Amino acid sequence: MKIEQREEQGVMIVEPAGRLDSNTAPMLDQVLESMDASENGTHLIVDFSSVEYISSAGLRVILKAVKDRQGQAKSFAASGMQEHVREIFEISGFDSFVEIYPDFHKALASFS
Amino acid sequence: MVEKSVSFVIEAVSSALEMLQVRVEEAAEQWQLSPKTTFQINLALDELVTNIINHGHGGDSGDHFIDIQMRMDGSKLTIVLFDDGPPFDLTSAADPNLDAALDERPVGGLGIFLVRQYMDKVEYKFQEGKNSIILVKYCSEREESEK
Repeated sequence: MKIEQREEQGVMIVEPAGRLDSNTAPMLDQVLESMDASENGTHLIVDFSSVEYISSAGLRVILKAVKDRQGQAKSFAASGMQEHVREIFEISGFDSFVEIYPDFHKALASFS
Repeated sequence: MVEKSVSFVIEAVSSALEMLQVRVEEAAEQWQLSPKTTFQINLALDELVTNIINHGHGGDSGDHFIDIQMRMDGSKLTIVLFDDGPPFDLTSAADPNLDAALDERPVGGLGIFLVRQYMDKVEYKFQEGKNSIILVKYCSEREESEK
C-alpha cells in the first residue's frame, strides 16, 4: 500500500492506494495518528479514490481516527469511494458518523 | 474444461492474504462470477482467515495451514475452511450494535458481521480435530456461462 499526504487550503488530505486489509491497515493507522498529533490537523480528508479493497481491519482504523478526532473537535471527512467500498461503509453503519463526499473537491468545499 | 471444485492450502500467516485473493480470483474467473460476487467472496475469506490467524493461532506463528475448498453447483457456491487450531467458533460472536453512538461503538466485531452480510449461510463445526467453517453463497449474478 502506498499512502500520499498533502495539504490543500489548510486541509490535510490522505490518499491511501491499493488494498486496505489487515496487512496494510496498520500503515494507515500510523499516518492518521501522526496527522492527529500535528498542529495542522484540524480538518482531515481521507480520499479513497485509489482504494480498491477494504476489510474490517481498514474500517477499524477509520473508526479509531474518527473517535480520536471527535474528542478533540477536529473534523473528518471521506471522499471518492468506489461503489463496493462505499457499500461496506454503509452496511457497517459508518455512514452515520463519517461524511462521505463523491470526490475530495466536494469534501474540501464542505470545510470552507 | 471447467472444474466444479477448487481446493488449495495457505499458510496461516497474514502475508498469505494476497495469495488467497489470487486463488479466489482464478476460481471466480473460471466460474464467471461477477466482480461484485468475487469481491464479496474475497472479503468473507479475508475476514475469516484473518480471524483464524489472530485468534486460532495467536498471530503469525507459522507452521499452521488453512485448507480451503470451493465447490460450484449450479448457482450454489459452497466454501469450506479447515484449520487445525484449537476449537474456536468465531461465528458465535454477536453482531455489533450498528445504532450505537460513536462513543459506544467498539473498535471491532465487524469482520464476522460482514461475512454474515455477504454469505447466505455461515456454519461452524469442530470435526476430526479441525475447525470447519462452511459458507454458502447463491451466485445469482453469475454471468452467462453456457452459450
